[in-house]
Amino acid sequence: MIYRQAGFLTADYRTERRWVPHAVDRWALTAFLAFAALAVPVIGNDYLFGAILLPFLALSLAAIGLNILTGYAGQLSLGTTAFMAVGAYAAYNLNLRIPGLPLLASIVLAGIIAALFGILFGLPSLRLKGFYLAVSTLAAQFFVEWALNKIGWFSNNNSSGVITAPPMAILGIAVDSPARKYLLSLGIVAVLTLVAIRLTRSQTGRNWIAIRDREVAAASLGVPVFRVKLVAFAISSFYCGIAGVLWAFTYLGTVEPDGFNLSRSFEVLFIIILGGLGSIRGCFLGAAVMVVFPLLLSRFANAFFATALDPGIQEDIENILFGSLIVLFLVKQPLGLVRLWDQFKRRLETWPLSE
Amino acid sequence: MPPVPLLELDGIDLSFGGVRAIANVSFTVEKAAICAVIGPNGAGKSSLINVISGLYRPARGVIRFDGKSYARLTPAMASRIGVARTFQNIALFKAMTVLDNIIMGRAGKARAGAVEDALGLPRSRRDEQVNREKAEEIIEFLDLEAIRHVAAGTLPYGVQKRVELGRALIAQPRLLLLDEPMAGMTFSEKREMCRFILDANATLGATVILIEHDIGVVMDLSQHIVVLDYGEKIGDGTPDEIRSNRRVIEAYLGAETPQAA
Repeated sequence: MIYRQAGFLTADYRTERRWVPHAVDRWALTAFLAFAALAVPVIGNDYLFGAILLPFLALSLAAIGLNILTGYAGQLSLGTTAFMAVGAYAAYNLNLRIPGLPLLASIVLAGIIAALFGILFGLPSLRLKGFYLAVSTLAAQFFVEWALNKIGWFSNNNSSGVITAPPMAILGIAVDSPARKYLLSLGIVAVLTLVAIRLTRSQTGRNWIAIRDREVAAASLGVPVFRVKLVAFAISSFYCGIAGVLWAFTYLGTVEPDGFNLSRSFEVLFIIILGGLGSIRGCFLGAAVMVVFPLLLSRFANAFFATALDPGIQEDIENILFGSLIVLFLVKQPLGLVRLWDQFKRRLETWPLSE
Repeated sequence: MPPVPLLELDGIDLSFGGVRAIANVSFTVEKAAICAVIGPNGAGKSSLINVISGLYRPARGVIRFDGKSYARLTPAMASRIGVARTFQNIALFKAMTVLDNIIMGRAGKARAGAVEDALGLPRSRRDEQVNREKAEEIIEFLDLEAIRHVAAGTLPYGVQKRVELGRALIAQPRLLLLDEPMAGMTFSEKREMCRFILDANATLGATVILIEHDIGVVMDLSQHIVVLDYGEKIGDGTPDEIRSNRRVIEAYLGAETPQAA
């Protein structure tokens, strides 16, 4: 068996700490990434990019951001899209007001601005925990929506606060077609995913898990609890901010403040619950389900009911099914899809023995 | 001049609401000693450990650690000056592996920050390497090799207690606080844990303060016993002195021959 456990003994710490321990998996992952970067831009069509891959990548990144804060550090947040909105509007303004600023620089700066904003709204975590902290992050959500609607400067005095993505270019190459936008998103998400994996496997990541599992014990081991929480807020918001830029610039193109409302925050929260709290892979699995599920459902509805089904009712059914799915996962598999995947792999490793 | 004791508590007072948990308690622990704190339930033993490890702030009193006085001690400070502890109701990080739990004992010694960790800069890598080597020493010391990659929350109770001891030991503490390290253990698990405590004391040079209810274990392990009752110190001395202390017998031991308990 290619997966047999006994074949994977390690002789040094470096091999042992590999992110993907099995050689077969490493090949599969490399092949998959090469396919995504080289083949997909050629064979994909506008529908695949516009309706599936671009929202998938942006939501995955936002989910990584929220998962760092909620899944790893245990600080429940309902303000995810507030940080996304800050990122999107910051990038828009940076582009508008600083002529000649390179696209990638404006994206990184937007992330940093979102991070500072995240630190500000992370301050209550000094005193508040769990549900109460979640409510205080709601403040971020409502504050940002209000500010973007009321203060015209943020949207360059657009009457309804709408921003439109500027023409984008990297090193003189215009990022104008859906395929190129997809490549930009893919590149950013890939790099930030690597960074997130590094973080979660380092002392920073262990500190996050420690304050989630046992804050008192962490404190008495010398973990600077409050600073660790603020770092989690900052990095989480950095990720969400850049996800917001991708959402606005590569996926939607034009976005209004209401595009970053509370229900989107819940959507990201559902992604990490479905995918797996405290797992980076889970963010991608959850986001894939979140994006593909409604599309499959509407295909299904079209195929069976043709036009007999009112679009409104179809959306209701979609919500009901999705809600049931969340409840089912919370009850049956609180660790999410990633846990199911790992169990399946364990079966392959130990086969033909039971566990 | 006599050597400076490692720990001196001077007139420690601690209240919760109106309840006085610790009342004017003073005692001294010599360097390299094993000191037991005993007493009936609710006597203030765990509160005392929490004061020494900085989790509770005493209303009055001074803690002197290696000659330096501290009126208020935070958990971070306590960890920095070399105090490490275990908890009465095991406080491991359940989702982490045994290895990561033990490495967490060095959290206060990390030199790399989040940015260095994110980018995998040299200092972060070096931290990881040193952490791993130190953890492996502890894993060998406590016989945890077979389970180093197992999630701590899934382990049996006695083993979790051992992992928690490892997490405290990896920091190379000068003072090791053990809150009921043998509660709920079988006889052979207790004997094993006693051996680890004696070894930590003898070979790693840690001064030990432990809370324990098994009087046999207490008498065998410690050179020095402090007895608390209703937050007050009612006995302080060698095992022999405690055994013949009338107040202690009345309040806690309850019999003329304590070994029978």
